[in-house]
Amino acid sequence: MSLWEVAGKKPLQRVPKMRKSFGQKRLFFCLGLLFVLIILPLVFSNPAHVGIFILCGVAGVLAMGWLLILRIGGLSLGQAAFLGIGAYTSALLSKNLGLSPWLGLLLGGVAAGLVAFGIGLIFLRITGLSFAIVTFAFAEIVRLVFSTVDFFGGHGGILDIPNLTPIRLFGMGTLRFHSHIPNYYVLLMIVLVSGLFMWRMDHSALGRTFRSLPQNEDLANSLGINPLYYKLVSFVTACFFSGIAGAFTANYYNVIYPGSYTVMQSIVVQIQGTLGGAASVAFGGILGGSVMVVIEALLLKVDPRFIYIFYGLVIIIITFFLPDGLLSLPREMGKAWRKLAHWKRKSQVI
Amino acid sequence: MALLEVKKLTHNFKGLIALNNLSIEVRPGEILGIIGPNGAGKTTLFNVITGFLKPSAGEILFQGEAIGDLKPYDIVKKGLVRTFQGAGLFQQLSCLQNVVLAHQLHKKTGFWQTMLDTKEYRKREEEVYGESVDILKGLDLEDKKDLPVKDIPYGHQKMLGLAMARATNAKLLLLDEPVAGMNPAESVTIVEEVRRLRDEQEKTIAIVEHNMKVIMGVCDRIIVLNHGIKIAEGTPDLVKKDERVIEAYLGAEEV
Repeated sequence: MSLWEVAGKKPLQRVPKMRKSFGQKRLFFCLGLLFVLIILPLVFSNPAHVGIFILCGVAGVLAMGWLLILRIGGLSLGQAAFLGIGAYTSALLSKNLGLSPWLGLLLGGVAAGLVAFGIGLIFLRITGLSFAIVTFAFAEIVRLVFSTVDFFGGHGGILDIPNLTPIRLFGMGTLRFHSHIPNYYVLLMIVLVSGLFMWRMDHSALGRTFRSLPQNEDLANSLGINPLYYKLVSFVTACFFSGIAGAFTANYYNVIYPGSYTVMQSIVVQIQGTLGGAASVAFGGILGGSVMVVIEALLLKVDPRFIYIFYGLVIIIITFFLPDGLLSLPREMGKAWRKLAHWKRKSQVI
Repeated sequence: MALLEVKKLTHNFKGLIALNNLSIEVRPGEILGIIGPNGAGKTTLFNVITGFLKPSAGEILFQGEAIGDLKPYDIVKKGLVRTFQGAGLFQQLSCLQNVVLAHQLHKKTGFWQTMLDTKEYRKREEEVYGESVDILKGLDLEDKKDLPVKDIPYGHQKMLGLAMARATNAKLLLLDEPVAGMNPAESVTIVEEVRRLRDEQEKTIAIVEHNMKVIMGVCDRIIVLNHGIKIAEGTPDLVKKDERVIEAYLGAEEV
């Protein structure tokens, strides 16, 4: 792990000048990125493209949540289930009860968070492979419940879910959400809020405590840290935002069906998170999610079966060449470059 | 009044009796040694006292208060802390991060204060980081503060572990084999630190150890365990000469 990954806060002894310039560079980078994200659908306004951006955003939120859970040592293979819980909550509330879909967004998150809290109380007492297995099982159970219980619409899912209700802008008319671009901006807000929240959590004392747990839970216990509390904070937060993203998909696509929330989907979340890199919960999540979604979209055009080969290749390449994900690419390339230079020098001497 | 009282403590590991009706007390301000052959139940005793294991029978009283049912993170809040055998640190984190985490006990900022990065939170963080750097300075580790703990020498790691236990401000420290794996020079530093903790900071210390030189040299009183039972108790001189102890243990040990 590099120092940046490990330091939740820069030590007091760092030279102030260096600190400021690095912080400034980062701030400019983020503002630049924000600018790009805001004008993105205006530049690439083809609905197909905007649709892909939205998929990137949803994947990004899920991957961010997955990485946040990884921080406490949890390998969750059930994130798709929380996407589904959020989606079904908003779908049922906005379609059957006529509740505002905006409220559905929030309640989708709350529902996912509550479920996460409930199962977390039991599941978070174990970590490692066992945790992965129980989240896997949980995801399957959720999918089965959605596809067999009539209340959830069974195999056919739920249709005719209302779009987000129009908002009246002060003096500028009404903003309707029947098309892609307004929905993109809603999702962008969700991504920004989730990203900021989870980034902040990871970089604060909370994140520091998270990291201590997979390394030595006994020591953490003996220092007054209640492991279950911190694991729950991480897990519930991650699932809350995944639920909101799920609720968004319900009101955006207007259709949801249980087949979308498979264990394969959860595994894809893990691949996205790993591809992005655990160094940064927020950036790793968005990066991994977006890259995978874009490449998937391209491959789908060629042949849908390539997707599975693609997943496999990603796992192999990451494991052997880039275990810390795309975020570590600059660092790894630097290392490779220096190694190459060293060999060249060596061969010249001979 | 005894600082820590263990009354008729029994602990079973599914048929294997690790602690057998054991009664021990730790008196305020003393340095108590707990020795015995391997498998005598010393570490089990620590695990039960500090809440990592639940007693099968018996009571544990710290400052008169029953702590037998408490979780480890609640017990340390009462003023009782332990160290672990072996390295026992957050290996991948830096020295500074490790010491900072040891201050978690005194965390005063809540969830939203942390999330919103309030002035109070920042002030608290600065304090904690400042204190942590001071602790590292005291251990001569300041230049290594950003190194992952696994990259510093084992002796330094043990000292760091001890410093972290001290950072919890506990009144009673249970040290599990603090000088295991150390050369004589390093052992001396640890022993000096233990003495300092008692003499200057009024801590009470109980040490589980196999190094007889250290135990005999630093402890006021020694308790000898074998098969989960107390077989002897007294000053180092008395214990050294006790037949049962020699028979069980010291005969095979290099003094």
